[in-house]
Amino acid sequence: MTCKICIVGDFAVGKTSTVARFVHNVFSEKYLTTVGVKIDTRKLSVDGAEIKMIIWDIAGTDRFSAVEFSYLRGASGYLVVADGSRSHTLDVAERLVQEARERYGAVPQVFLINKFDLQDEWEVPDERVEQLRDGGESVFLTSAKSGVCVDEAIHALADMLVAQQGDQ
Amino acid sequence: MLPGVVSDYLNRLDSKRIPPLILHIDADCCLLDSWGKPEALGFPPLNSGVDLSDALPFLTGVDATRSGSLASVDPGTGHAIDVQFLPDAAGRLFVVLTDAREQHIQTAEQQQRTYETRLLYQKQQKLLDQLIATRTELDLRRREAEEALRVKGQFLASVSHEFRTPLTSVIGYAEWLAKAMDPDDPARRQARAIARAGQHMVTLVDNLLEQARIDNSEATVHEDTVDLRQLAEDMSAIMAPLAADKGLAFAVFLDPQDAADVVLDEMRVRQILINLLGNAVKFTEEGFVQLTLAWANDQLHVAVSDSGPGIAEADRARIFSAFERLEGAHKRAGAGLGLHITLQLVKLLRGSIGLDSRPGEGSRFHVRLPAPLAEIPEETTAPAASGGRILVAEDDTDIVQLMELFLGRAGYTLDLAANGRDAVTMALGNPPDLVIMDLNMPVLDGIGAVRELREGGYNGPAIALTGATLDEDRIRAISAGFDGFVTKPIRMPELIALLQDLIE
Repeated sequence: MTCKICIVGDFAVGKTSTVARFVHNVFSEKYLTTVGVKIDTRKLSVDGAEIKMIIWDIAGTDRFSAVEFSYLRGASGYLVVADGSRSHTLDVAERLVQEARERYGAVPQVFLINKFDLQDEWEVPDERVEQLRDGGESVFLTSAKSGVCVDEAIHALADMLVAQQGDQ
Repeated sequence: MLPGVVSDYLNRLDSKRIPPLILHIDADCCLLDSWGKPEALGFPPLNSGVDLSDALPFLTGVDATRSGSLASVDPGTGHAIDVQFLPDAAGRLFVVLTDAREQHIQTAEQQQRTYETRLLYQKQQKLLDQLIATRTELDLRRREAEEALRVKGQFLASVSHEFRTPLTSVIGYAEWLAKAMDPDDPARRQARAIARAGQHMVTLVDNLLEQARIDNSEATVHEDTVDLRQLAEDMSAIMAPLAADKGLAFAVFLDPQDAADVVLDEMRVRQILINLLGNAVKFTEEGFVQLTLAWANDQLHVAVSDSGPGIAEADRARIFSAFERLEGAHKRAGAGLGLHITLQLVKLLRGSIGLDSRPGEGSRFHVRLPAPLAEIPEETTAPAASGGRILVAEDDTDIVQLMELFLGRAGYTLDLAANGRDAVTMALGNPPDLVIMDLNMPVLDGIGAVRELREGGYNGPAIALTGATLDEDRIRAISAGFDGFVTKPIRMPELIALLQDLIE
């Protein structure tokens, strides 16, 4: 099973770092902006079934333009990333998901509230996370730097995709 | 041969770029044909009939029937390309890949700068917000602290007021009893002990009030002419019995040459002396306590010496802190405020305080206070007590009876009123020589009553009687029409002296 996954979110929330941690198990402190889209691939095993995830790391934005919408076409799922030390990026993440859903319909998605290692600067209140979870979203507090919950979040999306495939 | 739609697209491309790579694929991503060099765009050689979805992962999910484009794609080769999808009539797809590295690098540099600037701005904004929040929080805490201090001050003033009225009776009756008893009667000593204990309570209440004033930065200096000889005598009168009770020798020294009239805040100086002497008596188990007063160069020099346990050098700074009590001090009564307040009062009076002491060798506190010589008006003959009719308005019957005892013996006749309303009626109906009124009375309080008296034409002197000691209470009373102000507990000799002054 091959799936196109798009990782979306505001700039500098840690999308590229999340992919680098997931695909190559590396992390760099240096911030390097992503232009356009960068594609990486990793295979996972879910309940004995192999799933090949083609991850489209889309340049950060607070609103999708025609260029970004072209990247989203045909995506099977979204990894929606926010920066926990900048709470407004969670608002941006929710808005982007809404825009994508209006354009291409709903697909499985997982929220990653990243930079969980920055506890002193953390801004997202627990109530907000609970609110998202109560609304049916899968939410993970991740750290691309330490690796905390990155695999768990992406595996959760893989599980959803496999389950959806089974339903179809 | 490429179809027209592909040729047209190629013609519109920038000719300076690396020649495009054109792939013709079927709906399953199998390569049917290709034009150009895959290696030039970072791809491995691509052979016809091979599934391209691994080498060109962006083909996954592509709808072969739709035209479209993808800008600036890095397919994992590190080489940015632009991708154009051009379907043919047979349901297959032409994919035109063109080099986008130059544009990609330019955009990346510009975007990097923009985003780094925005990140910096956001961090700056966050810090600013935190600063504002911290300042707001600090303001709130400051206001809360100020309010707490204000409430504490009010509470202490109220407690002081409540204590002073019963203390007037305790001290006054005890003194009356002591005077009335036979000098050999052992109960006389006990009556004096009650009076001294009452006076000690007044000192404690005064210390608490003073601390509240200092905390609220409300302490102000009231300079007056102080007769140092009288001060020495008063200290002796207050402290000698306390020292005698413990079997201590007590002495006050004042060189007759130094017995000047000087300008000082008398109440504060008395408080300083009582605190220092009270401590000396309290902590000295045998031997002596002595007070030395000297005046030179416009300064009052005070020394309080004792043969008590002494204070180690390490403890000297601590003893001046609020609520600090050294080991052994807990066996004795006190709040640990005396020396702290003494230090604050000395500072308030722009003086200095020091301590010479060694454990086991006693202590000597020395205080220096600015005290310029007072200008004394030409002495006139003191008026003799001539008596008179006084209206006393006071709702506390114990205090009324105490006044009847003392003022009656001093030759005054008393009219009594239990509230302000009765006092006004009586005073306007048959004006007395002087009115003494408690400020806190039922029906009509002292302030309201004196206003009505003045409005009704009563011109005689009026003295306010109150447990409150705050400056604003004094000002309020004088503004309302009182001529004098006496705080409880009432010292009868002082009250009688004031009556004489005002009636004459």
